[in-house]
Amino acid sequence: MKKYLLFPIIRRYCKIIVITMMLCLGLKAQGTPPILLVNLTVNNTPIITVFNMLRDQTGYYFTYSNDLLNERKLVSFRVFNYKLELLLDKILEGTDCTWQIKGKSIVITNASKEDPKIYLDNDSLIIISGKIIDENGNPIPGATLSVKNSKQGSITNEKGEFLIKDVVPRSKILITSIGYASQEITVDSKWKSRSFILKNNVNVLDEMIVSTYLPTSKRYSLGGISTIASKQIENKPVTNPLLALQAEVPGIVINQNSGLANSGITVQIRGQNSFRNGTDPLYVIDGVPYPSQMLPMINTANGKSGNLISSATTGNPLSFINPNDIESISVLKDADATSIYGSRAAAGAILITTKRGHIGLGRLNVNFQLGAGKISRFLDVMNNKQYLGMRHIAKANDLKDIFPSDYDLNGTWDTTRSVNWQKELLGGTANFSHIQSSVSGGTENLQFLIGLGYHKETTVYRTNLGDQKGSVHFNINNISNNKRLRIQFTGNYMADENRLPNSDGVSDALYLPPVAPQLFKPDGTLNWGTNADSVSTFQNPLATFNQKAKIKTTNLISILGIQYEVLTGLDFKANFGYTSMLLDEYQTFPLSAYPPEYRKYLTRRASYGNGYSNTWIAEPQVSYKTNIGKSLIEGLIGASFQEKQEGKVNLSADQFSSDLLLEDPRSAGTLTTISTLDTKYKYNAIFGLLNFRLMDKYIFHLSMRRDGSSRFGPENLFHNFGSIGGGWIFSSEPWIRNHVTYLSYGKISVSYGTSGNDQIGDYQYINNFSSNSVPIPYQGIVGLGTDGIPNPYLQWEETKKMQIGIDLGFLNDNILISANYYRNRSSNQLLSYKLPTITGGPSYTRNLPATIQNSGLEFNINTKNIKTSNFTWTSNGNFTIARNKLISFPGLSTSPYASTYEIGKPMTGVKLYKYHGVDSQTGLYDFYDSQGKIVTNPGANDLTVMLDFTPTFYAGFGNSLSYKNLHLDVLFQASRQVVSNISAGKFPGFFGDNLGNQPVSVLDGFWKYPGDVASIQKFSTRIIRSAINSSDFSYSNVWFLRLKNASLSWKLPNMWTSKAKIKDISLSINCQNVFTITNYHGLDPESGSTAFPPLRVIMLGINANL
Amino acid sequence: MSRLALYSFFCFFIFSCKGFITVDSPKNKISDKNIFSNDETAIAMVTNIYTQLNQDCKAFNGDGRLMNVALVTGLSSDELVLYGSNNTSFYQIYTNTLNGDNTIYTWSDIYRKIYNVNSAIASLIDNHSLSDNVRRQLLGEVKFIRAFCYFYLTNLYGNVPIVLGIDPLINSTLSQSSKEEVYTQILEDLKDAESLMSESYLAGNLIGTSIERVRPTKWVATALLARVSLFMLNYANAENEADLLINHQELFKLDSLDDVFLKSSNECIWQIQNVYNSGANTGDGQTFILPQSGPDGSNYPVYLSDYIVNDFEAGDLRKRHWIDSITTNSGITYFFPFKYKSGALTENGSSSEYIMMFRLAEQYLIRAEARLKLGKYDQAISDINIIRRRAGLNNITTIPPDSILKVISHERKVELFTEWGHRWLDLKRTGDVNSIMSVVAEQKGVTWQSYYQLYPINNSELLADKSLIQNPGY
Repeated sequence: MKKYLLFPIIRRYCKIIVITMMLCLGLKAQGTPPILLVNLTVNNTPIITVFNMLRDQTGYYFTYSNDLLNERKLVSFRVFNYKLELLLDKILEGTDCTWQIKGKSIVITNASKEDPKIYLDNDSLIIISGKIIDENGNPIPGATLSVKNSKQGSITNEKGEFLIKDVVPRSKILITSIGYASQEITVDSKWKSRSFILKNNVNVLDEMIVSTYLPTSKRYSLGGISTIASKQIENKPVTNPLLALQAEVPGIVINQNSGLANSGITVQIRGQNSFRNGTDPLYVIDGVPYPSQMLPMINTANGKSGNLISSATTGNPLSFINPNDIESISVLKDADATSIYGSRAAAGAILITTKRGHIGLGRLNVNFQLGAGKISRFLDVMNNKQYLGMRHIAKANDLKDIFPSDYDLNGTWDTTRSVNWQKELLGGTANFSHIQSSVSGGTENLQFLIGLGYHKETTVYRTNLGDQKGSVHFNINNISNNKRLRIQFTGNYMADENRLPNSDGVSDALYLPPVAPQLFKPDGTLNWGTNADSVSTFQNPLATFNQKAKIKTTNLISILGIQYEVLTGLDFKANFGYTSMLLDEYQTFPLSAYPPEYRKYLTRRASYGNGYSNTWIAEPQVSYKTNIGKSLIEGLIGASFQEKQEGKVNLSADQFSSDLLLEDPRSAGTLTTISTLDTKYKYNAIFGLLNFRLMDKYIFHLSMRRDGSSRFGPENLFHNFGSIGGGWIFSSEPWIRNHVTYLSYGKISVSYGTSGNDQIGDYQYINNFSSNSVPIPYQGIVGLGTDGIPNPYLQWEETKKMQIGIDLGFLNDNILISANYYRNRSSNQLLSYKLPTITGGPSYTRNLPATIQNSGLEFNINTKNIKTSNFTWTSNGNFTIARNKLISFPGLSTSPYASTYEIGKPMTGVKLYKYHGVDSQTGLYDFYDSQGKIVTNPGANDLTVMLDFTPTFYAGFGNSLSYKNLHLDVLFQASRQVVSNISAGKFPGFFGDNLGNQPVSVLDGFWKYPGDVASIQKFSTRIIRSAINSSDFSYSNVWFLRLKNASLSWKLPNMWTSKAKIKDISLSINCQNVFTITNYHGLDPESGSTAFPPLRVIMLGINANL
Repeated sequence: MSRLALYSFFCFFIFSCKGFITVDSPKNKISDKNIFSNDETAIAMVTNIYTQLNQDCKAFNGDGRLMNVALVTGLSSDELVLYGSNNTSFYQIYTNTLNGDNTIYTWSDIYRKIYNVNSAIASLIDNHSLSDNVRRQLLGEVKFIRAFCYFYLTNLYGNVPIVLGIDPLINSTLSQSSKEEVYTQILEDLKDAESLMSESYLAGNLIGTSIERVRPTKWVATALLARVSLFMLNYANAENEADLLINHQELFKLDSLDDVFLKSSNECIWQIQNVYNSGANTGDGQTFILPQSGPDGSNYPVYLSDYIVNDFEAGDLRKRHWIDSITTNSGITYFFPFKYKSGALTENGSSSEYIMMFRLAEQYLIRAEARLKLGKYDQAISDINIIRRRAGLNNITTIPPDSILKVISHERKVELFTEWGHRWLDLKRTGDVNSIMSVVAEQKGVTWQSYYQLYPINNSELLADKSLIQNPGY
């Protein structure tokens, strides 16, 4: 892959130019200054910039070491048709440096120190030879080797090989090449030909980014790709790699829907573009598509991956990939980047690349971390006095007596108790432990990596639950001697065992009255608050934990890539991938979970689920790449064959003889199959990509894809997608380069194209029947019932994406800014369209010409603030402003969606009643109707306020500081969104039969007497004016600023570690969700008022490289 | 060479595309193409309609289904009294205050049945894969079910759309047809059904015969034809069709009162089998038979009204055998229908009773009424007396014709109470509805309006199909 790296390319065509020039000018001798004429005007320009300009004009590289030359030296001159040699002399005037030409390089050396010694004994001189390669084993042609204190040197050939004769033993050789860190080697007398690896040291603009099928760099990409690297993942104590993306990347909203292990995570790239179907991005791991949703689960405690989407399931499949095995994650957003994924990438794509082996001696890395997690915010709820006060007021307001069931008021419960149930039930500490180790190494031909990981976490509950993961990752990379055949084999395997509660317990913690009975009796058994009639007076929340749920998941991802270079630039490639996720779960309902007096009426139950999700993919490709003059042309044609098969069997069992036998289905009295799942999804496409890069300034991309998917009707199996994109690196234009010297990089890019969404269920176009199993089949026949109304005309939802971007680099790219405006329009919406029931069904899936627009602005900045030998400080920031709008919906007013959506308003919004206030006489809530009149009981037509729950502004701000061996990273997250406002209570002011506690904020301004101006209605034992929960009063506009992540590490001084023969050891503290500043009163502004909030996690770690 | 390889490479996948992405139905499902390609799955599809009919009446929360017609119309008429007002939809039905926002989905439920029937008919009509007897029997069965569905639709809702196909695009814009047009369609289906279906009660494989009468036969089509003819005032037809059943004495005989609703009933023309081994025996039994604690707001919402209880003649055994009562601890006595003797299933899960869909006694009453209208007074009286004698009552002797009509309507009331909405439909058919319901409604605490005779169509339906017109008054 690295062969596409930028610099070899430049080097290659520069060489052609130089050779041409040399021929023209009749130059032969090496070391003789060429008669080259240059034109250049500079004014107070750093010397290094001048060298770059000269490089562009002449094709010569400049090689120098930093200690020789002050890069920041500023020069000014204006020359026209000036001899290069004279100009070089002029530039180096006043320094100790002199220059000489070696091959294609101009080597700057220190003249004063030059002290050529005369070696009398020629026999002791030796010949050295070898090879220069990069970290992936690819040869580096054109690298410069200069023997220190001599004029000797060499340039590597195409194969990266070099040869220098007559070298004095013990002399030092400096190896330099642009884009790589320089390396100094010492010549020993017994020289053997060997390879030297130069480490990448590239400008952030030139770092390779994984995009679609042809890798590129930020410099030449068209803007819609954001990447984070393993460094940004490793220092975050997260177990789902998606969480490492939070706040790092503009244009993507990532919501963790529960703080439990393997929780559901909603990911939305550039807004929601579908009414009801999946809007998950396409996940691709090392080239293999990966599911975005789990199989449907029995246990739903840990949150869904998706909010508005009906098909969303519990949990998230990315939880089963070890974040430490990941090299980089790229988020693809615009048409140029996503359209090549055709019908699957309307909502963007996330490409995950796992770690690979590197050349070198075997390296062992061990990382061990221990930590703790807690819920960091609780809602302020009433204490016993406040609570009882309100209960009495509510009774008095309703003129109601205290009933036998009012245990809190009639003396059954000890009202002197005042328990904060959130702390009692959710206030525990979850323990985390994490071990990660890897071995890697290899030769030029074969590199390997093996990684092992183990992670364990417990929960904050007062019971022993938690999650354990063990994982293996390996990568083998084989390159033939002639470098034409490359084989790469990668595997990831994880086994996970998650023990969860049957429900997350948050509503118990929020609503249980502060005077509810103790959890345990003095004898240590569960307390049921039994009253005089032997009736349990409350459902002990800990009894629920007697219900057990366990989910075992194993996940395998394996990829084989074969590449063969037929001719220079022409590659045949084929990738084969297979992923398999197996799921085994159960949930038990023992009698001990229920109040003792009910147990005789109940039966012991259990549910079991067993499922698999397997995908294979084969992708043959042919690519060709060539340089013509200063231009690069690369093209690729490929095909994709994909098949996904999923299955699951859910069983329900009851009539067990004991609570102890519930985990064994064989012990059940009756066993029923509740549901079976069996689906097959097939996908096939041919695709082509064409990239042009002219003069290093103009970029042109074209992609086309023809897609077929088994999810669509026979009439519409195939569809075409395509994109076109262009970029202009205007900073390469001489008139900019010569005049705007502080601008080191500038690019404008535009892309436009289409991609599709096929995230609807399988088989919706077939009129399918499934078995209707009943205990006594009708006349002995198991009936076959229809699944619903089919639609043979089902098609893709299509998203047209447009993006305009600008990228700027200032002060030698020390400040990099990029801004993108995007506008995506999704049409041909697949809707579960409501039908009159005379057609037989409540709804069917159909395409509607409705259009949703997502538009926004993404801004990103990277700065290198300070860089000295001891201290470096870099920052990065990003923000996104996003808007969602329904721009057309033919026939909306007459459709079943008339009261749900509105043209010109966000499609993600929800229509609500407009709250007016509390009637000062009756003490009850009033609302506005559609005419603006005050009403007590608004109807469906009075839903006049539309609130959008997706964040409209979100931002991230990170800083990275290093001082000597200390390294600190901090990442802040900010967002603004509308959230259900728990301060308004479940039904504010209602304290009915379920005796629910309420937020203490309800006490501010509740109605007491006629004439009161209040915001909360009078307390009552009945639900009055329940419309309040569907009004704008129950939602508030919330902002928050969160220290999302902080990590501090300290590398032990080498003098300590070297004694122990350890390469390096570092100690670290990594924290997640450190603190949150917000105007929100509930648990967590991001995950919502009643969701289990993400934990604050602090991990202490030690990392050793052996 | 390499060009050729490249060319063939692309040809390969261009041509393989369509084949590659075609998927068959998954193994837990079967597509409509396959389901009607062999007898077994075709039978299973049609049999599922009966399975669902039984599943429908297992639990009733007031949402309304075809199988709950007895309960819904019993509440609307003078048969049943609602206990409490907690359940909004029950309360609206009972007080005749349904409106377009109601949550009674009888309409939807019946049309869902019609969709299943229509999709079966579409696949059966030109089917050459099935054995002929299977195809004929199934087609006859589903046509009969369709007629049965439309009979209740039009009698509950008046003008209704006639849906005969399954294309949602066509069906979602249909407008209502007049009651006459609906009846024409019903007659057409019934005639077909009568000629297609078997004369003997078939087993599940449609080859052997069965003691249980849980599959429609030619006879049930005849029974519905008799009823429809009566409703259409075609008395000659009604008499003829009822004749056919009554004269087929080797199959149909009146049973003693306690045996009528058993699954071994000789009076049965069609019953629905139980598919559960726990819970309700029959839905009606489960709902009507009150526990010692009396009616409540949820599980036992209704009891029998005095209009029924007090209408029996002295000595009418039907009052003793088909009505029971409980007296609660607070001393209130509630009467309830006791035609089905068992609410919940017995412990071993076997049921002694099946849900009665059609029975012979109704045919006697149809024939009596038809004969009366045809001027055959003596024969009419003789039919009435057959029913009366079974109830332990004396024969009536010759009386004036309009008195005979009164007697027939009384007999229908006490013979067919809380069965299949006979009372509600009779009230409307005979034109007595306004006079009787005015009194009853007043006792329910509301004022009777003539338009209450037809139920309103749900607003969501009107929203989804703009061609539909709400019934007048709503």
